[in-house]
Amino acid sequence: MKKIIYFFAIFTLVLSSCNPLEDINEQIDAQETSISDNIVYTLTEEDYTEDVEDGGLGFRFPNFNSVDDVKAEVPAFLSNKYPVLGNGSTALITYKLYAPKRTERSLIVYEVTRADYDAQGLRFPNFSNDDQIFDFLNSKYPDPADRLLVSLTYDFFNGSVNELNDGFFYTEGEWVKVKGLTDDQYSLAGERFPNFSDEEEALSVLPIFLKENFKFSPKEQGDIEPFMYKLFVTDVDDVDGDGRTNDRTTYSYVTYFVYDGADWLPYDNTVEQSIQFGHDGITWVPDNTIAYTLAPEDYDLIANSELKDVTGYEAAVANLARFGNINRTGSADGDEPSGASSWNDLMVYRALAIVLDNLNPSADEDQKYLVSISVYNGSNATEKFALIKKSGEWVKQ
Amino acid sequence: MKKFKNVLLVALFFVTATVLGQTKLTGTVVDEMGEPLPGANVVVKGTMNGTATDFDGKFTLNAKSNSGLLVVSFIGYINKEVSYSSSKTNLGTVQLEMSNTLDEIVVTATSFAIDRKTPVAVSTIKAEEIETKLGTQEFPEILKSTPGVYATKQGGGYGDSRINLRGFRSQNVAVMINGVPVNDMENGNVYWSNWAGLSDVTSAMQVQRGLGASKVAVPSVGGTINILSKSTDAEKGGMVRASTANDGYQKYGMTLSTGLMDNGLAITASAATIKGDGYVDGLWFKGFNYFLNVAKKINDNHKLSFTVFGAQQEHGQRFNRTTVAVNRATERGGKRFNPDWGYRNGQIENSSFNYYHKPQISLNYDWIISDKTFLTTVLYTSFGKGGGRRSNPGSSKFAFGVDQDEYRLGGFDSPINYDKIVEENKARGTQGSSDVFLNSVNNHNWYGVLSTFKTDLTDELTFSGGLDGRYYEGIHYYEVADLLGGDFYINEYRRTNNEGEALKVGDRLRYDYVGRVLRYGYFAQLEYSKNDLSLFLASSMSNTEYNKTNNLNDALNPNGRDSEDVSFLGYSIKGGSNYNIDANHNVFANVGYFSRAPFLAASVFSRRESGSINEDAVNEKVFSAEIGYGFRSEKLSANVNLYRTEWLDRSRVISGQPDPISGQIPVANVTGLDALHQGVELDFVYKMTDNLKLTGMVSLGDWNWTSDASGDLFDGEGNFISQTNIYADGLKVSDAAQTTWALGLNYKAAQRTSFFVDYNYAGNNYATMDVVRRTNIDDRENTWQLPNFHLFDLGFSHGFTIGDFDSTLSGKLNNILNTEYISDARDGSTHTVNDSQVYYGAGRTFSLGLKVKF
Repeated sequence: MKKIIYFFAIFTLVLSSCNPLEDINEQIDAQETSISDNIVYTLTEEDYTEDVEDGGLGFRFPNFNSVDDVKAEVPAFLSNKYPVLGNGSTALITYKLYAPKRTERSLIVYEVTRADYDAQGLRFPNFSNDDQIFDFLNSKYPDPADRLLVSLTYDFFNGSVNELNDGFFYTEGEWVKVKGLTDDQYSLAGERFPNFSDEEEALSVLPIFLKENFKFSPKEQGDIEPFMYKLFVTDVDDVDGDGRTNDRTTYSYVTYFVYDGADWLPYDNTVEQSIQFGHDGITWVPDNTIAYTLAPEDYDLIANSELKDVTGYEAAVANLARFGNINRTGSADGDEPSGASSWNDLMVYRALAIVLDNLNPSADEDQKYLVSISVYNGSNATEKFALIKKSGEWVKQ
Repeated sequence: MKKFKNVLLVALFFVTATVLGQTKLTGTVVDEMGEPLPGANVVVKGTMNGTATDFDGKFTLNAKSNSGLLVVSFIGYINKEVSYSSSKTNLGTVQLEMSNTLDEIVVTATSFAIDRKTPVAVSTIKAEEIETKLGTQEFPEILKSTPGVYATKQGGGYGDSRINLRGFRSQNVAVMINGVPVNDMENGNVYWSNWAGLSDVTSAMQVQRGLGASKVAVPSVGGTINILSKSTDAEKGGMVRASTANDGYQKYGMTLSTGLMDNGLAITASAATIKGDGYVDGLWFKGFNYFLNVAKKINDNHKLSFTVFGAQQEHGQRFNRTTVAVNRATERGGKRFNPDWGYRNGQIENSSFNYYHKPQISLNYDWIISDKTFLTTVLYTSFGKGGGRRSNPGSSKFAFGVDQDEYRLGGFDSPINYDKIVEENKARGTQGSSDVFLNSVNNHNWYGVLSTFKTDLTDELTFSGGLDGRYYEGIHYYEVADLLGGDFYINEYRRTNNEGEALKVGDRLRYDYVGRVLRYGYFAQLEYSKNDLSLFLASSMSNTEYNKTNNLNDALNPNGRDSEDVSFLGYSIKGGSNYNIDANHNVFANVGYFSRAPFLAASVFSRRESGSINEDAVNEKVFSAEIGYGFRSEKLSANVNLYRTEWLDRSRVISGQPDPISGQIPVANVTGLDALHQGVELDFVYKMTDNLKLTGMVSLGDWNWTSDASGDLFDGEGNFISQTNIYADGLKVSDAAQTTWALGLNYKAAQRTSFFVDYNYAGNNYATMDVVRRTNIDDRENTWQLPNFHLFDLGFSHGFTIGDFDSTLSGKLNNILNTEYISDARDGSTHTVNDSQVYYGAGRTFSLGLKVKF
């Protein structure tokens, strides 16, 4: 009986410590390179505000303050979210960047007088283009404070003379015109006086006028436009110049709207942008690599390019023309073209440079591409080649 | 041989004695190692009066005469006759010898090898060992402690296991059940799930490595696995069996046997139901196994035996393999993680699923023509039906990926949300379902006859010869199995007759063909046996005829749906000799050469959809030589052998790129691909004490590809396109562990209680590759080498009685240390762990079974 116990003891002792996968697992954990994928992801509100421990970014607000912040914070976020992804992975991340457009309040309310038109040497008592208005403003306010908003009521000739009320906003040394509503438009909106009585009402009605306004000059999704509206409120800044700050008067406000492709919505001070990251084997880094899969016309392009007459390429180009893919049955190495129907790496890079020049001729220096091509290597397969633009040439990365 | 003669002499001496009266006889029957043999038959010679031994090998029998002879028999052992008389009623211990493994007809019909006579390397596993050691393991796994064997569960689905012998895959391992070859005739594969119930009724299993003793006309390269079911040897009575195991495994079974009745009839019936949730997630299974044998002993010279058996089963499968890194990233880990299952209406649903039922029916007729001559014939047939679930080519929602959780119930590694897929299919309306289940259906009709005639020409020289004829029809198609909520599926398979049509459940797609194989041949063998020397010389010849009808791919078959017939002539010649130096030592050698028809699937037709014949396909040739040594003593028996198998001219058809315009597929016959499998195998049984037995095995293989190969690609019109090369020279043969060893210890704690521990090691295992993909001249690197692993199993068996019923409780713990290991891997392009796709072996599992005899 003792014998058996010894036997068992030895059996177990010697071999229980044996974990066949120990080395492999360590190797895998150490490199994390084995899985790659191309992620396309839009950060959700929770992603910004959830605690870092819960996989979020831990922000107070659901946006980034700067692109630099994006580059600094997103890598850790991605490592957290896609722990298994490693070298060669890419992630195209859509995020919100905080780009505040402050709501401005008019400090000057002014109605242009007959004398003003005369003083500008105008023949009629009205303006007929924006330059005349800017000239007037420059002479009226020769040294305006930055972010000065003038709520200007004036007559404008455009086929007929209309009275308009628009905002003129002085910023970065220039006057910028901000559309406002005419008295008629206020009455169209159901107002007894040419103003709104509260902000909420204004923000709900204005998108309709914006839509009307840009009917003939369509805007694109994401365009941001300012708009001016008037509110009848307490004159805390004594805009009317009567020395009192507890009376009520009309203030003009500039607020921003963003077009979502169908409607105008109040702008929440963020813009959507995208940035690409790549995994370099250790962490995620900002990366401009564009993943591209050759389209049938790209193969045609190569087949009909100058390569068909280049020594060493003839048979390979003819094979491509016949099958519509790259024959990779031969050796991938070599400093010379193969001269056979199979393409080596050297030849593939040269062909892909032709494709990229055609695809993106104005690509910036250091633009990277990861090109997937259909190959035949005994069976149909896909191979990837990484190229970068250096000194105006597409070369192997 | 000497011993056998002595026994006969003794028997003849006593046959003359006659005394009258009734006598109560007792005794114990033991095997060659002195272990009791339960279930051995004890019959008074010349009568139907008999009994069977109990669990302890003991028997009690009332003889009607005062003296006579008892015939003691047990399958796998030579019959022994023992005399009794009124003065000698306690016959003591009767030891049976393995030297004549089975009675002669069985040996001949099944090609069982005989110890110290048939010159081949062989391991025999008896029913008792199967019973205690199998547990919930797959049938081939019982052989894992046998030299040259590498067996795994692959994906872990019920019956999805595989076995490689001496580095050859199942196509090159002949599996015979009661002498009937069961390898698929189109591709040579063996599907173990079809024989799932067989372990319940197996009386012995023998693995012959290398050329083997098989006499059928089509030889195998790696070896032969012979499985012998119970038949007329079954004792009267029955048993019920219940087992439970990890992950909801439940099995209930019953066996009833009449024994040999006075009218010469013996009936054995066995049935079992089995179900479980599977160790791997989502791999549920259920099955029904049945076996019926009706044997009629017409008289001493004629015996008929009719057998039906089958296993109807369905089970979830793990189809997708993943990398080690991905497995590590999953919450469940590689041992249990399965990407191919989920929930639908709250029930488990599988993207990969398998259902088959392939009953086998046979009629054996044994005719003892004279003392020196007999004829044994088996007629057999099998009707198989079943298939495996697949997804449509455009499907993406079942797909598995580390960033894909859209159609999962949680993260990327969680079960599939089939309900969402169903909802989306419904919403697609007239666009049809985007993701559906298809079945890859494989049905067959199979008919065969195998007849062996044996006659003793002289005392020393025996001739045997016979015929082997088989006809097989394989019906293969894809069908729409489940539209997953949609109204129809728009066929995406190109160049099919119904491309772009809206298909409903049951409609066929992709391909629909019938492959037919007709094979007939003869075999002949001369055996010389005198004193301690035996010699044999055998040869066979067979003709294999193939043809095919493709019903769904007219575009690829411009010459019509029916292919022409193509036939291949194969032959084999082998010889060997065994010499018993003395009672302890024997040596043997064998050598053989054969030429075998290529398989229909891989070589004769370039692809499933096409009926165009590759007329230049060539036979594969194998040369094999082997020497061995055996030692037998009371305490130790050991075998060692050396083999060298050259697989020459392994031919493969390589399809080139389909012509973009005509769709014609250029083909190249790549010939001259050679592999060499050589190695040393050792196995032993050492009886340390009466209660302690040590078994062991070492198998060292050195299996390599030894040549490059090339072929010319020609298009449909015979125009040369290009040369195709395979760069295989020097690469290790992949797919199986080249080094294995095993140790086992069996301790008998009490008369009917024993414990055992088994240790297995597998190493030098290279990730599976398809050698024809090695077309890059710069890539001569071996495939990724899997980590070596050590496994321990523990078990016990305890016999007791419940009332009058003889009962056995047995338990088994597999992989007791819960070792995490990789059993199967498919090589990636970098030949490293990074892109090899793997299956993990199962962790710790247990089983507990109770058997009650009545």
